[in-house]
Amino acid sequence: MSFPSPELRKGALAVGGALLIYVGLAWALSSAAIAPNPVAPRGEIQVDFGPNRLPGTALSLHKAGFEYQCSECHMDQPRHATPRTFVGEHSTLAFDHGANDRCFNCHHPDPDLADQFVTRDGRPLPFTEHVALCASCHGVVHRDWLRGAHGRRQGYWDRRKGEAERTDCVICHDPHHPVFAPIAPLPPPGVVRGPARPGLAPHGAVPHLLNTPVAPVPDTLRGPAIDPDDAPAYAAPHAEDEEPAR
Amino acid sequence: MSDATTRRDFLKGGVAVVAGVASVAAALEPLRGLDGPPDVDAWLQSHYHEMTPDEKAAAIARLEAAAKAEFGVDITISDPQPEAKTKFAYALNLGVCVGCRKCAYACEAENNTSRAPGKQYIRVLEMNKGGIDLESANHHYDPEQVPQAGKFYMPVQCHQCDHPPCVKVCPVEATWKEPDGIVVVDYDWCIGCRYCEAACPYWARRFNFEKPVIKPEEINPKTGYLSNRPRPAGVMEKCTFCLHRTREGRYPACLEACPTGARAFGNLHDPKSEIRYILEHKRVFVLKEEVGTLPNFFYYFDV
Ligand code: HEC
Ligand code: HEC
Ligand code: HEC
Ligand code: HEC
Repeated sequence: MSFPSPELRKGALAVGGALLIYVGLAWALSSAAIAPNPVAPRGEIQVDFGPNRLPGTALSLHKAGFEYQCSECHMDQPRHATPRTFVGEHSTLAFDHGANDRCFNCHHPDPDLADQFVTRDGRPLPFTEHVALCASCHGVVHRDWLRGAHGRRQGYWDRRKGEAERTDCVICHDPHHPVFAPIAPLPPPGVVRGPARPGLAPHGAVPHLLNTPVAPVPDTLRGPAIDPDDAPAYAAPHAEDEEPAR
Repeated sequence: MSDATTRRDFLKGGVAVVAGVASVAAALEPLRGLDGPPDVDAWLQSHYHEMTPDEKAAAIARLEAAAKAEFGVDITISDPQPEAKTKFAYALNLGVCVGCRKCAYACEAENNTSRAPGKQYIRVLEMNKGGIDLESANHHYDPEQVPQAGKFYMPVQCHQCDHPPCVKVCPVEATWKEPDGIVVVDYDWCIGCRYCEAACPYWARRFNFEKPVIKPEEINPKTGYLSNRPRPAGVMEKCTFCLHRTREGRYPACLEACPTGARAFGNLHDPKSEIRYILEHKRVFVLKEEVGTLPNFFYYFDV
């Protein structure tokens, strides 16, 4: 039978036809054939990019709907040099500023200036000047803050194009217990949300950069145990060593 | 028996047809994954460096229209160019970072990375205080609150190295280093071989095994051609220091999101910049200095 026989030519035509039909079908079916990707419910993860705390807008106390200036109560109250435990007023105030444990290190001791701060060298400061208050003791950190190495910035790094906003100390540190308050972390990366599959390492636990512990190799997969007497001589120096990590 | 078909010949022909159809079907199988007829312009598009301004404008218009068709969102794709006398660098204060991962999530929102599973450019490593031991680092930590006593946290992202191994290994030059120091990817040129991912000692590159999954309402419509525009499946992506923001003078998204102020960013050529102040006044170090990548990402402790 010489090639091409009419049958094979017919076959080739049929293949060509089938190809055309198949391509057409592939386009038609493509959208239906692909299962839609599950979209991660990112909306569930609430990310708060706001500040750590809100600063006092004024040096004042709110009680029973009224606003009081410090001076209203402190005009003629005795002032104590040493720290005390408060029984009534200010008893909710958590105070832990380390060695800086005197109220009047920061609040002005003079009853007439009760609405003001006082610097380390005794100058009164209006309550809006809280950064200068911190700066009077934390000079190095304040210098870093001015030059952008401490505290948060937002806006433009290129000052020719726009302004950058600096965050004040009291927005991150409560002046009375200044350690940065712990916060809840956002969920770890690459966790495919859905029912947990037992025995499966979380996605992303690739022991590439990070040596996350891997399950030990079961004995059935190891070779036969080596009889120490049969072991080659070069193995001897390491025999006492622990098994290497890798 | 010249034109009478024998039973044997008929069967032979039939077998050939069936085999032919089956093999063609198998060969065409990948086409079923396509979402529509192939876009000739997309297939013929040249490398970013070889496109004329007109071709670039056409490519941008095509990509914007594709995003509109797919997500129903009007995105804009800008192509900001590097400026003279600008070299970007980043510094991170490990004494201040608390490991809250807000940077990673801000990055995700800014850069339109896939949400299923989250392809975050930033990995935050938790380590024991006392030394940097990557072998024992954990990035799956999930306690009630951070920081945990005795731990410190080290966010790792692209270091925009001066000797980038990822660029060296790319067989098609789909990734390169820009004059301002940023290592970028041409998503339309990348063939998805993942060599760069393997070459990176900082685990900073992410591969889109499938088309990035994002809800339309979560798409950031302000995108850059070489940074956060919507990516196809099968291409590599990475941190670009948010070049669509930083080339316009703004801070990267991760920096603005950090509640502790651990992050600093700026221009190395500007002696008055924040980054220069840190390099001059703090004892900075780079991660894996011994591999010779010369990163532009510096770490320091000062608390
Ligand atoms: C409603 C009245 C009232 C107001 C308003 C008030 N205080 Fe007081 N404060 C008191 C009382 C009462 C005490 C004494 C509490 C105690 O001994 O248990 C006190 C104690 C103090 C002390 C400690 C004094 C010492 O000698 O140890 C300081 C400091 C202080 N207040 C600061 C302030 C500041 C700052 C403000 C303004 C933000 C303020 N107070 C507003 C009633 C008030
Ligand atoms: C490190 C300096 C510093 C010390 C020390 C300090 N304060 Fe204050 N205090 C401030 C600052 C700053 C504010 C302004 C509030 C703000 O911005 O959150 C303030 C606000 C207040 C207020 C009004 C707001 C509030 O939180 O109720 C009271 C009351 C007060 N201080 C009482 C005290 C008492 C009592 C002590 C001593 C136990 C004390 N402070 C010690 C810096 C200090
Ligand atoms: C009168 C001096 C003084 C002033 C004013 C002052 N501090 Fe302090 N601060 C100290 C001292 C002293 C310590 C060290 C405490 C220690 O280690 O025992 C300290 C510690 C701190 C710490 C470290 C806390 C820790 O345990 O890690 C922070 C944060 C802090 N201060 C923030 C502030 C802020 C914010 C202000 C302004 C509202 C401020 N300080 C004002 C004296 C001051
Ligand atoms: C964006 C938030 C933020 C701002 C703004 C900020 N800090 Fe801090 N600061 C931190 C964090 C986080 C730490 C490290 C954790 C801690 O010790 O609380 C820290 C640590 C400190 C410490 C203790 C470590 C040290 O180096 O001694 C001091 C003191 C301090 N800050 C003072 C200040 C002062 C003063 C200002 C304002 C000029 C300020 N901070 C502004 C977040 C901030």
